[in-house]
Amino acid sequence: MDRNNDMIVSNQLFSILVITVIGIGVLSLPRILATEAGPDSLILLLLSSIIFLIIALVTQRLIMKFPKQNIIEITNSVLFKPIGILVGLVYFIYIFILITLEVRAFGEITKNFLLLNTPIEVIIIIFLITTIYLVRSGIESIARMAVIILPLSIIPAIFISLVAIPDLDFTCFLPILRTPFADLIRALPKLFFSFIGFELILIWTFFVKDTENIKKTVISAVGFISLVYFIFTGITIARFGIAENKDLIWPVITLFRDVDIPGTLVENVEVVIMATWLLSIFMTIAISYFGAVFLLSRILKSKEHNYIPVILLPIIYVLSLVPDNIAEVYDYLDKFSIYVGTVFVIAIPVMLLFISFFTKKTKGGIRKNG
Amino acid sequence: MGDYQKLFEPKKNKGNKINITKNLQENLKKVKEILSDCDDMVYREFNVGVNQNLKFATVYTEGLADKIIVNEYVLKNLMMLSRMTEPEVRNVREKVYDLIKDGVLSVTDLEEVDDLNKVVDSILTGETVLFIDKWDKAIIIASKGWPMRGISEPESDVVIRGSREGFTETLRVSTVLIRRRIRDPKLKVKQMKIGKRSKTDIAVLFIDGLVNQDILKTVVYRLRKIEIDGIMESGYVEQLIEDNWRSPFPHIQSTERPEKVAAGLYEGKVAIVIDNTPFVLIVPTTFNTLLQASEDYNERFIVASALRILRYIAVMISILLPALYIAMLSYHPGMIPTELALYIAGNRDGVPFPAAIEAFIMEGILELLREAGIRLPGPIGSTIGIVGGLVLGQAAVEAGIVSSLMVIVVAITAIATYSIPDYSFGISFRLLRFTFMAAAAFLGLYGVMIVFLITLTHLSNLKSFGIPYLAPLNYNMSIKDLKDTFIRAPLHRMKRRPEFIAKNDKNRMADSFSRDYLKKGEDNSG
Repeated sequence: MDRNNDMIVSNQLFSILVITVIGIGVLSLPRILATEAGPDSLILLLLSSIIFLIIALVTQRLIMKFPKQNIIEITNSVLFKPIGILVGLVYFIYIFILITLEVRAFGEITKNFLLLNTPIEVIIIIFLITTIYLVRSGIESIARMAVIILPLSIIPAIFISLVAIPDLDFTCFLPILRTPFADLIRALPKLFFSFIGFELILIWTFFVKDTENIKKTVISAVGFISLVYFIFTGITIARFGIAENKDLIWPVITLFRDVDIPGTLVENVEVVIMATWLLSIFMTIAISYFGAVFLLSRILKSKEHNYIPVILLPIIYVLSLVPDNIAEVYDYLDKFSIYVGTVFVIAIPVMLLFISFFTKKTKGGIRKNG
Repeated sequence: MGDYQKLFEPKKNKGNKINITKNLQENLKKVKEILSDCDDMVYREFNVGVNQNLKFATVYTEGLADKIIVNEYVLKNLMMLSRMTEPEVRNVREKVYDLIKDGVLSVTDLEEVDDLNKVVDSILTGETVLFIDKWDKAIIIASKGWPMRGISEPESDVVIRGSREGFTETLRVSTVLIRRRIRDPKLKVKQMKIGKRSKTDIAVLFIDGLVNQDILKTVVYRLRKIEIDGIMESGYVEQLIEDNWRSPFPHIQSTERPEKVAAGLYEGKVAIVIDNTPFVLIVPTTFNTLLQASEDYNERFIVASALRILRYIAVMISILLPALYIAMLSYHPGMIPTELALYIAGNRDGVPFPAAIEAFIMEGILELLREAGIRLPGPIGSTIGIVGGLVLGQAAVEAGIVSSLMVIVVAITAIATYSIPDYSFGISFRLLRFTFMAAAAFLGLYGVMIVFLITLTHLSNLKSFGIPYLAPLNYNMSIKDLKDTFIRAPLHRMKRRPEFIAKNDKNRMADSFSRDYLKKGEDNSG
């Protein structure tokens, strides 16, 4: 994984970012939005997208100051040596916990929709072994996979949700802007759950060949993610209304279950969508897994780290079975994203950029103003 | 000029050299010693000159050398012509070689060697060797000529519209067929010999200035590393130089069609022509190229694009259909529309096996039929098809062992597999299909998706001579990159060579070329 030819291009970075973020966030997004903002859901989404774009640009600015460096090296350059290891370790634990929760959520959803009678342990173990194969293949293979899987998982979903258009009732978004602005602001951290995964860009840029295009990639990735979110939340909320969306665990899946394409070979489209969604969640987890492995190998300073994903597998497996049920998983995920995610997505990059303005040293990095 | 020349510098000759002596008899004795018990050698000693005082000898392999050349242009000239005119040079003995070379032998290709090992090699490739008494060198006369198959239509790559020529087993004929399509001095044909005993001729073809140097370097390096006693077919070379021997997917393309090779060379690829086989290798090869038929470029782009899409669908059908059948029937009956589900239930009524076993039986029989049909001569082969396909299928359904729907699924799968243009590519999908079926039998649609992901991961890992196997699909999909993949853009829109291969000369067509002149009425069509 550490060979010289491990390079990705910014186009591939786009796919990696989009697929990591969308993977698990989209399913419950309409529920969060409907609960927090009611008829102003789309406004809240717009607001959070804009704020997230700003955060993403801050992160990008930090990256451009230290091109071809990862989070550990960046922190070392900004502050001093051991801090980088510490930050790396904290990031590793954060990603690791995120993976275990995502794996569990994935297992639950798969069991619910595809394999009712199979024990969740079997589903998770098989899934993790498949993931390890990709993780061990290295960043280049991951990037290629991401590029191919992104359209495979999104295009069918969009096409099928378009069928629901005749049943949509957009009046549920009215009256507009009645939610107090303070409430909207207060709800913002909850929405960052839907953007979790983007902070991994601090690891990916280490591999990117054409650093000058990162800014463009960041903007288009955030734009694309927001667009996809807009389409799905718009259609889902307009289809079921605010009240119902609050009660559904995965409103988007319910949307597909509800859709009936006349005259097709397949009756329950939701199974097909779950199958394609499986592709994107696989990528989300594999990419995060690779990020965790990469950070750990940097912390341990080990050259050969093909064994790390294998060692981590049983730990992920056991930890993913800790929550009692899917509701608990989502509870953890919500809390995690609000309290911990916010720190990693926003606080650390902003702080690092802020401090870097004062400490002028850029060890090894070429100064470049993005 | 090209940097490639360094690559082909001959290896330092490690073999011990056997010098040719001035004594004709001694030389012949040595040759006979080396070639002892080779009864297909012909030795002919004769006298030349007005006074019959010059001793000559020729050696060649019977059947490999063209007898007419040896008789008419070597022996006749030496024995008859040289007797008629007295050479003007006084000291005939010293000048005999120049005299013969410049004045007597009416053969274009002559070579002078002083190593007996080389002499023996040449004899075995079909050349004729001429020894002259009192002279420590030998002349190698190009006289290769053995019975060979004529150029005929390729059996494996059939096209409706396109050239009917196919490669033959003779290396020279094959390179000529390519040369005729690229009349460019930049088309380089570099030859080497591989195989300790077979000494098979291998030609590496590429267009200088266009070829991707990294790929060329890798190809030559890997070819030179081969140490084997004999090369029977291009498959040997393919397996010895391919990137990943564990992969079920072919990542070197082999073809019988010269225009496919020429098109590849124009894209900056490298071709490897191997003697004794009509299959020429093209590297690098990507997933995408294996689904292209050469006919795609000869048809109008709408038709060609439609066929391309059809082929991609065929690939999906050929690996997924039986697996989906198993998964839907055993795990997700809810996916099937109610009416169809009822029909299937009625259809399967009385079938004693679960869907998975049923599918494995039928797919297994189909593979058997195919294997049986391939080895049999034409008419019997089709009989097998009829007996197996029609009679057996019908009987199995009537006996109630399998459902008729299963027979339909198997038949569709078979048709889809045959619509994949590359034969070895098709085999890998046939193999993969059984993995998918097994996964579907154990884990339903989840299993199918898991195997799909494993396959995709494998494909992403795969590289063919440094080029990702999935190129250009592995970069972000913009219309620009997809011009020659799922669709085939109009020719005048494909002005660039594929970017991931050709690094040097990217333009296929002049930028200024457009079809606008047709609208402007600048042409004379009125």
